[in-house]
Amino acid sequence: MRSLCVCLALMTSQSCLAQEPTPTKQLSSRALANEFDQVWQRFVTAFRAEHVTDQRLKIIRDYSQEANQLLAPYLGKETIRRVLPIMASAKVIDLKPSFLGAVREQSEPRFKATALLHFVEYLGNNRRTEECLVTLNHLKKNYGKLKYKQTTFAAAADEASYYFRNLAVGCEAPSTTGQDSDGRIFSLSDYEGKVVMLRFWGDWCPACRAMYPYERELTQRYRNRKFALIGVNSDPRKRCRSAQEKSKLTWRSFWDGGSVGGPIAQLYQVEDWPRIIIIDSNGVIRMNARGVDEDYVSNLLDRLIQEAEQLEVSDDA
Amino acid sequence: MMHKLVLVLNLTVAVAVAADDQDGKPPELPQDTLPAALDIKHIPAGLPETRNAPKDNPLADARVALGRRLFFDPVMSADGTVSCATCHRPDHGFASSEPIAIGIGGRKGTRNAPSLLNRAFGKTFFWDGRAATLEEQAIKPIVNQVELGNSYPVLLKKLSADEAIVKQFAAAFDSDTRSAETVVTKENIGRALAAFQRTLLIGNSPIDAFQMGDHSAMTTEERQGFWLFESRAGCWKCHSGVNYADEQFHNTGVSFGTKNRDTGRFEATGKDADKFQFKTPTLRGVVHTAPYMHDGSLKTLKEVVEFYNKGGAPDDQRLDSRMSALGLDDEEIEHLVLFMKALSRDVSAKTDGKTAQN
Repeated sequence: MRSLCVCLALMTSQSCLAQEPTPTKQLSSRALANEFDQVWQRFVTAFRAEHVTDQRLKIIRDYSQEANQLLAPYLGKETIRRVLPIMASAKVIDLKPSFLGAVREQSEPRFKATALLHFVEYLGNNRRTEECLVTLNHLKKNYGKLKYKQTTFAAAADEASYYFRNLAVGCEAPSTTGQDSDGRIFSLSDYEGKVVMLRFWGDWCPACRAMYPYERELTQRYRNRKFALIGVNSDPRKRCRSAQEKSKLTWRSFWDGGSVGGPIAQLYQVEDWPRIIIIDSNGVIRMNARGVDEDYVSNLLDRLIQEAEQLEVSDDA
Repeated sequence: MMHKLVLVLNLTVAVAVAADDQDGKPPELPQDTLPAALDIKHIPAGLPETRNAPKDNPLADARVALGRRLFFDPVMSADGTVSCATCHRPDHGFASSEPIAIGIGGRKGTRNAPSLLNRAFGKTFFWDGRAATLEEQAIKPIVNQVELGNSYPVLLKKLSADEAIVKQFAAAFDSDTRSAETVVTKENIGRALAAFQRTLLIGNSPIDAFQMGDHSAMTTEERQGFWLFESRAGCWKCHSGVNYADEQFHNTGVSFGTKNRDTGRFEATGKDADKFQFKTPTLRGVVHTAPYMHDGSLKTLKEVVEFYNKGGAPDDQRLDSRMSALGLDDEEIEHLVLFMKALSRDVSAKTDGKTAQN
């Protein structure tokens, strides 16, 4: 993980190189996406097999170049538009030349702006928060007035800026106060010193219900340790309570006003359920994700809770 | 099987055994009101899975029985007037009802006699942690001049003279000889008393039942107390783990400003940084063990919460960094007290074993 961060830091300083010849045959967007995915998969395999930092850097360089070369002929074409979202989820390999190339070569401003948004998403995935904010500024200034979905690119840029300033990994979790399902007011900061898993849920949401057993397992595993699972519930109060009792949910929940889009959900920009935000014992967000990779969550919690508990021991020493 | 201890704790029927030191008359000896058989297999729900019995003292019925006998027997004291149970009263959560324990001849000790409940899960023993094992701890009060006031040679001689007791030692320690000298030893007394103490468990509380999914086990107020406990009230910072004790030492400011303040952990380590620190006790069973703190200075659980609510002794320069004023209102203080009371209750006492299905 650490060596990965080093790689990222080095990468950002690299400039984009001019791309070479055009292939004779043009691919469809689906075929291009497929080709890109294969490069990506090969990269992941090679990267994981290598442990020497210098060698890893070379792998990153080689595959970045290969991916950018593959994409180069399509940057000004319609084909790229459906590949950009896939590129946005790539990590470590440097796709900046392709994203910026698309912005440059696309003819319609709306598509230039869309390419920028995908670039922001890519930067976010790669924890390049500073570049995100710079890019969003650029987006807002040059394309802000253009329509995006039901609003404008300016609104989308503002929303994304808020996210990267307040909700992305590394940010301090926003101060959060609300009432629990008994109507008692409490705050996230009451749990300072503990690792908190903030879990946006609703009994109306099947994916949330599917997570109950895993959550019960977590509360059992970390019982009376430096951990708190805290829900943010989006059901009417009655349903929230009956779900807690019936489904044996023995952790505290904020009751967020009885429906989706409550004040806490808005504070955290939660529009899709379930959402999990993991906050370390210093109040810093360490994970903010939609779906749940249980192994990933368990490993992260193990690590953070151990960190929190060791912190205490060293305080005493 | 699992309700045995509960029965014990609910036996407030026992006679008031107040030390009558004013007249110089010895206090009445607490009787053994424990159930006939003490369970060495079952650990109540919610507690750690093992009692940490050392390899050379595996838990066995014969040792428990011997330890139990010695625990209640005034032969342990120099003049045959007090027993271990005098200060660790079974009807009082195995603690003393006196703020400062009163031992042989009405002599006053220096600290409140701590509860023996759940010491099976302890890491160090005594308020200052000076004993590393329960075996080591158990024999020290014998020779403490304000406790049992005895000496080992005298006690061993007296025990060896009693054929029935020697037999019991031999049975407990699989001795093939009937030689009193080899089996009636200081170490074996410690082992037997430690084995007995490892059976004194309290768990299976409404909070344990709740944590296993049973919402009906706790009232709303108790649950609110629990939420406070594990969040803003900060109790969890030291009363951590499933036995609600971190087994560490802290200065909470108790007895700050008193003359000749007890230096606590310092007495065991000699380290200046350890001054005024005392071991965190478990909160399980705490409702039975008033008065509270190492000096018995607080009479009720409410007073204890109020003490922490003002941040202990804020003027104490050596106060533990975990301590700060909590800003709890009266209702919240009440909820915390209700939570601690719940933590001292065994749900099987009410539902009679139904919780076993979890």
